[in-house]
Amino acid sequence: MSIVNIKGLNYTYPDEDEPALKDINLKADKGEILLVLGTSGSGKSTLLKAITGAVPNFYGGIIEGYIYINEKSVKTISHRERAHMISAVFQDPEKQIVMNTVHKEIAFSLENIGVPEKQIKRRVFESLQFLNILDLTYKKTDELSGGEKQKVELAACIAMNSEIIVLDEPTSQLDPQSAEELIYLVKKISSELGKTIIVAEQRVDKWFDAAEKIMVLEEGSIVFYGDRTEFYNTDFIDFMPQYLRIAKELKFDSAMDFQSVRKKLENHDIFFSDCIAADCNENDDTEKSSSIFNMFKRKKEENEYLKLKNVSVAYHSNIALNEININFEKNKFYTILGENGAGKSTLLKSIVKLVPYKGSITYIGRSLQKINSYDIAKVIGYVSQNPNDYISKDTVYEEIKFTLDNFKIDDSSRIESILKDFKIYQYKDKNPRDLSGGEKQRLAIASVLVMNPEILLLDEPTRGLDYSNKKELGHMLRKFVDSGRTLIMITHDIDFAADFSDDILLLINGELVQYGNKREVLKEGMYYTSTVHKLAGYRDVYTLDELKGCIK
Amino acid sequence: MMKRILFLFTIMPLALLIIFSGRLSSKSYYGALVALSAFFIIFVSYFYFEKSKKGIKDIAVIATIGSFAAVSRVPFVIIPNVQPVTFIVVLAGSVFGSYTGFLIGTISAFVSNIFLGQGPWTPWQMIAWGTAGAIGGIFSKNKLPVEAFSILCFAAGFIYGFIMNLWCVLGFVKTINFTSIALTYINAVPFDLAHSIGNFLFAIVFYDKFYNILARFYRKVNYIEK
Amino acid sequence: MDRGAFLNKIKFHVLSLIVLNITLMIVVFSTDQPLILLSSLILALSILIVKNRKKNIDLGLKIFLPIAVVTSIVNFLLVDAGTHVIFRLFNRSFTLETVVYALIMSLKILVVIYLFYCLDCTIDSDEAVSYFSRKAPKVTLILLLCIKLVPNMKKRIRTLNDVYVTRGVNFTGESKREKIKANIPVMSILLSDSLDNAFDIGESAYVRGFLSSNRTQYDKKRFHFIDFAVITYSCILLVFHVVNIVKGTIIYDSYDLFNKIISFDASAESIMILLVIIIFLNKTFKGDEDNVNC
Ligand SMILES: Nc1ncnc2c1ncn2[C@@H]1O[C@H](COP(=O)(O)OP(=O)(O)OP(=O)(O)O)[C@@H](O)[C@H]1O
Ligand SMILES: Nc1ncnc2c1ncn2[C@@H]1O[C@H](COP(=O)(O)OP(=O)(O)OP(=O)(O)O)[C@@H](O)[C@H]1O
Ligand SMILES: [Mg+2]
Ligand SMILES: [Mg+2]
Repeated sequence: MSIVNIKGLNYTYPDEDEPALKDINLKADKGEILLVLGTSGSGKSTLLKAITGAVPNFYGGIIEGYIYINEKSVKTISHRERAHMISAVFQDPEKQIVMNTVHKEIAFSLENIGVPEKQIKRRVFESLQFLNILDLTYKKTDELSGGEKQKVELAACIAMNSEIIVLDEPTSQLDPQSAEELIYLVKKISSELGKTIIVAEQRVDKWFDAAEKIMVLEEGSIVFYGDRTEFYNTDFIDFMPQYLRIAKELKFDSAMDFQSVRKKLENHDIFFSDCIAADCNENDDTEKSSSIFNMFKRKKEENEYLKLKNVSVAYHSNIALNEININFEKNKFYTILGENGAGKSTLLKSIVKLVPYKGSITYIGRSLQKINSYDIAKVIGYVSQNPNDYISKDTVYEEIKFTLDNFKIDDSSRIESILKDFKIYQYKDKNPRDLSGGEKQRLAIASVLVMNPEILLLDEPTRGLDYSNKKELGHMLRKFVDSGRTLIMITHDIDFAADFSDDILLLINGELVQYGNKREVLKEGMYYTSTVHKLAGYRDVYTLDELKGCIK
Repeated sequence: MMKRILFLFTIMPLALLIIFSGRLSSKSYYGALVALSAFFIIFVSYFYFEKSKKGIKDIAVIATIGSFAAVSRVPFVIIPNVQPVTFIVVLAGSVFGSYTGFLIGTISAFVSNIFLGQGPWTPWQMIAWGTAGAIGGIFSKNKLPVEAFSILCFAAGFIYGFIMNLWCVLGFVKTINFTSIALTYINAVPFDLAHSIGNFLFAIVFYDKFYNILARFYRKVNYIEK
Repeated sequence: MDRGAFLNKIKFHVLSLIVLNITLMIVVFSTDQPLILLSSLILALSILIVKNRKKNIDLGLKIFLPIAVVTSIVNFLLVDAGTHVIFRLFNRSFTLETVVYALIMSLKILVVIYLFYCLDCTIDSDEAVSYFSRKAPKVTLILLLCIKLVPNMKKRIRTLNDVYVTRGVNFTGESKREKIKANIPVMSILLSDSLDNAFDIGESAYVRGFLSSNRTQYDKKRFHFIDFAVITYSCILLVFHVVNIVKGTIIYDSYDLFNKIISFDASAESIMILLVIIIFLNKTFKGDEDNVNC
C-alpha cells in the first residue's frame, strides 16, 4: 500500500512562465526512505511543499493533478488529519521558528494537534534527548547558532511522531557527527516504527546507505526513479556519494556501500602503497626543506596580515570564543571546521566587528577595532550563514548592482559575468525572495564576491549547493585565492575543504584545538576527515584527484 | 446579509450613545459607556474573525502589516501627528479589502501602543485606524492612480482626526455642548491638517512601491486549481 | 530564560490577573470620586514598586504631567462654570473647579496607565499566549506574531545595517536628510521582508497543524485557591461599584468641590481596593516555594 501517491502533478508559481513541477507521478510505500535528489533549483523543495500542502496554500500559483495521502486526496483531507499524518522540516530552519524558547517551540506542534498535556512534556524532552540537545532546552530560539536551530526544528518534527516525515536538506548545517547521528536516528525510526521518510538532500553520503528508493528531479520532471543498484548503473555521478564516485571511477561493478568499496580498494594496494610512499616522501621533503624558510618568513610577516590575539567573545555568561590566537597569512585558503555551536560564526563576526570582543584583531598592524565599518568593508568581504540576510532588492540584478553602487563602480559587464559564473543569470529579473535555497546561497556569495575584496569571509557557503555547483564554487574560490587574496571559510563539508583549502582550523567548544596544513589536520580525524582518507584506510590521500593519481 | 445585520448590530451602541449624547453626556459614566461600546465593536469584529474561515495566511498578513505600521510610527513620534500608519492602513485596506483593513488598523494601534504606552486612548485609536482601513477597502476593485489614492489618504487623515477629537471632547471637556465640541474641533484643525498632509506625502512617495509588495502577497494568498 | 527563572515564574493565573485589572480599570473609568482614584493609584504604585518597575513609574509621570497641564489650561480657558472664582478677565470667571476637574481627569489617565503597566509586569507573555490560544487561537496568533515581529523588525534593521555596512553602504552620512534618504529603501525592504517572514512562520505553523482543532496546553498553569479568591473578590468589588453608581453615592461632581468627597460607600470601596495590596504582597514574598512544581 502506498502511503503517498502523486498523480500527474503540475505546479506553476505565480508570475512564472515555466512550471516548477511537471507531470510528477510518484509512490512511496509505508516505512520507506525515499531520497529526492537533483540540482539546485530542480524543484525538490517545491515537491516536498506540495506534499505537505504548503504549496499552493502559501505560494499561490496554478496547481493541477492529485496527491493522495494514505489514499485520501489532500484536497478533502482535514487539516487535523494531515497535521497528524505529516510532519516536515523545510530548508531554512531560521525562518520556521514560532516560539521564543526551545522547549515551547517543540511543544508548539504537539499542542496544535491536541496531544494530551501529560504526554507533551515527555515527548518534548525525549526528542531533545534524541538529538542530544538537552542543554538547549531553556535557551532563547533567536540566540541559537545555525546548526542548533536546525536541530531544534528536527526535534520538533520528530516529537510529532507522525506517519510521514518530510525533510528538506535536514543536515545542511549540521556538523559531521550530528549529521551522522541524525541519519542513524531517522533510519531507526523508519525501520523500527515503520515511518515513511521523504528526504531531499545534497549531502547524500550518509543518507545513501539508508535509502530504499531514489528519485532524481531535473527541471521539475522526474528523470530517475529506482533503487540503489539501478541508480549505480546510471550516469548521475553528480548525485552519488563520494565513495560511489570512486567506485564508478575505478569501474567496480557492484559496489553498494562504504565498506565494500573500502575492501575493494584494498585490492589496489600494490599500486597504492608505492605511490603513497612516494607521495609522502615528496611531501615530507618539501615540508622540511621549506620549513626553515617558512619559519623565517613567518617571523617576518607575523605582525603583518590579519592577526587575532587573545580574542574572546561571551554572550551573556556563555563563552563562545575563548582566547583565540591566530595569524592568517596573505594568499591562503583557510577552512574552519568544528561542531555546531563551536563559535565558528562568532569568530568571523568578530573580525568584521559585528560582535563585541575582548582582545585584538589587527590587519597589517592596524587595529580593526579602530577602523570604521565602511572602511573595513572595502578590504574584508563577509557573507553570513543566512543567505536571506542578503536579499533586499526587487530583482537579482539590482541586488548585485547595489554592492557595486556602494563602491561607486559602474560596470555592468562585471554584474553579468558574475551572474553567469554562479549560474543565476536566467533569474536576473526575478525577485530574489522567490529563489530556491541553493540559488539564494549563490546570490549571497555573488553579491559580496563581486566587489573583489582583499580578504573574504564565508560562513558555510556550501550550504544547499549541489555537487557541480559546489565544485565550480571551489574553483572560483581557488582562483580568487591564487590571485593573491585571502579566504577564510566555514564549512561542514570536509571533502570540500580537503579539495580546495590550504590550511584548516579546528574549533571545538570555543577553543582552537588544532591549526595547520590540511593534511596534518585531517590525518588523525575521526569525524573531521575526508571520505577518501577514510576509504583509503587512513593512508595519506585526501581527495578524489589524489586517489586517481595514485591508482593510474 | 447576515454580515450587514451583524455590522449594524455592532455599531449600534456607539451610534445610539452619540445620538442621545445630549441627555447622557453630563453623567460621569458617559465616557466609560462610550469607551465600552468602542470596545464592543472591537470585540465583535475579532470574535467574528475568530469564528470566520480566515486562516493562517490572513493572520500572517494582518499581523505583519499591522506590526509594520506600528513600528513605522515609532521613528515619527517626534514630529507631532505625522506618521505613516494611516497611509499604510488605507493601502492595506485597498489591497486586501475592508474587513482585513479594519483589523489591520486596530492591530497597528494596539501594537504600537505596547511600545509607546497603552492608555484609555487605545480603543479610540483602534477604532479610528480601523475605520481608515475599512475606507481603503471601499475602493479595492482596481488599483487607484496615485493622485486619487493620495487624496483618499488625505481624507482619511481627517476622519482619523474626527474620531480622536471625539475622544478628547468626551475625556477632557466638562460641558459637552455644541460650542465646546466646535471649539475642540477647530483647535484640532492644524493637527489634523498636518496629519493629512503627511499622509498625502507618504502616499505620493511610497504608494507604487508598497502597492506592488502587497499585491505580490495578494497573489500568494490566492491560488488556482485546475 | 534559564532554568531558575523558569521555575520561579508568575504566581497568579493569567486570568485572575486580567479580571482584577479590568475590574479596576472599569472602576477608575467610571468614577470621578477622588478617594477611589487615590486608592487605586496607591494600589498600582505599590505593585509597581514591589515589582521594581521604577522606570514605568517615571514614564507614567512623564505622560501624566503634560496632559495634566494642558487639560488644566484648556478647561480653565474654555469652561467658566463653578463658584470658586480665582480671577475675572474680560467678563469671564476663571474658576478653581475647572482645574480640579482637569486634574481628576488626568489622574484617571495616570491610574489607567499604571494599571496597564501592572498588567504588563505581572503577566508572563508566553503563558498568556498558551492560555489564550486555547480560547481564541486566531487572535492570539495575530498578537503573538506581532509581538514577535516587532522586535524582529528592529533586529532586521540591525542585520540589514550590518550586512549593508559589509556591503559598503556608508551609514555615517553627514546631514540628517541624507540619513533619511538612506533609510527610505530600508522601509520597503522591511515591509516585504516581514511579510515574507510572517508567511514563513505562518506556513510553518500551518504545516505543524496550528488551527487544526482544539489545542492542548503544555506547561499548563493550574488554578489555585488564590486565583478563585482574586476573581471572586474582583466580582464583588465590581458589583459593589455598580450598586454604588446606581445609588449615586459615589458620584462626585467637581463643580461641587467639597461636597460628597467622603461618603461611606466611597470609603468602603477605597478600602476594598487597598486590600488587594495585601493579597499581592503576601503572594510575592512567601509564594515562591509552593509554585515550584506546578
Ligand atoms: N516562491 C517562489 N516563487 C517563484 N518561483 C519560485 C519560488 N520558489 C522557488 N521558485 C523557483 O522554482 C524552481 C524550483 O525551486 P525549488 O525551491 O523547488 O528548488 P530546489 O530543488 O529545492 O533547489 P535547492 O536545492 O537550491 O533548494 C527554482 O527555479 C526557483 O527559482
Ligand atoms: N546572539 C546570541 N546570543 C546568545 N548566544 C548566542 C548568540 N549567538 C550565538 N550564541 C551562542 O554562542 C555559541 C556559538 O555560536 P556560533 O553561531 O558561533 O556557532 P557556530 O560554530 O557557527 O555553529 P553552527 O555550526 O551551528 O553555525 C552557541 O552556543 C550559540 O548558542
Ligand atoms: Mg530546496
Ligand atoms: Mg555558524
